[in-house]
Amino acid sequence: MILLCIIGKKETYGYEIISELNKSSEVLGFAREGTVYPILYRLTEAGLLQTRLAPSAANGGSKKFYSLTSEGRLCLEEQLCFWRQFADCVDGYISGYRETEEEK
Amino acid sequence: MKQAYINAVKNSKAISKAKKAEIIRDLEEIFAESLAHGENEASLEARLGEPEQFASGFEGEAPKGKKGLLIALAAVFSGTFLGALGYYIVMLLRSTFILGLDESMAIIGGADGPTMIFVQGSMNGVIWTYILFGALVLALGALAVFFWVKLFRRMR
Repeated sequence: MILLCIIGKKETYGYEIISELNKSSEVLGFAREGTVYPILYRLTEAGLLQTRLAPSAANGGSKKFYSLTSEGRLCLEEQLCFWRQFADCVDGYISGYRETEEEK
Repeated sequence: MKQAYINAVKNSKAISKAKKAEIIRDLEEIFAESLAHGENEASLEARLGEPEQFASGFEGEAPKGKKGLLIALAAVFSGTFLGALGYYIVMLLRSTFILGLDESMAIIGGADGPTMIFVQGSMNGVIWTYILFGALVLALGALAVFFWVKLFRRMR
């Protein structure tokens, strides 16, 4: 879901995705190409992502840009909806606990 | 060393040929971008892990469902092949065509007459039956071998 959010923000490429993820490495742990790329492949095969190759300045080779397909965007919205419900549910239990704590 | 790493992944058996070109292209991009952003090769290679490990992350993209079918086909053809082969050998041993009338009678155990021997029509007909059946046995054997090899390759 996080990957879809990152890619949903703007069309991006591998190295940028990994760097973006590693900004939160304190919480999420370190993102590695070995784990992220297979996921990108699966998402692409599932039709949630699309890719385009562009000539790269860096090595004279190519650079692959990832973006969300319309299906990908739909799927992301569904996931965000579920996440919202999940987070609200957990928050509910947490506030229930906090309230009893404050009463003491 | 970048080239050594890329070659190691190229030679890895963990990835199917179909995916390999794509993965190698991505790997080249990863190295190029990493360098362009000032990262050194050693730290990148540390993050990527051993080439085999990196390659094996992509494994499992192949449809594993087919494996059961391959096992079934290999088993079916092996079984049929062995059965047919056995039958064929027995048939050959008992045949008058190969051994000659008198010898086969002796081997069968002193059977008293032509009653033990069945001639299936004309001599030409008999030859063709053996040839065709032999060919069938060979074909079954070849198919069995084919599927075993395919199965073996998938399991690597």
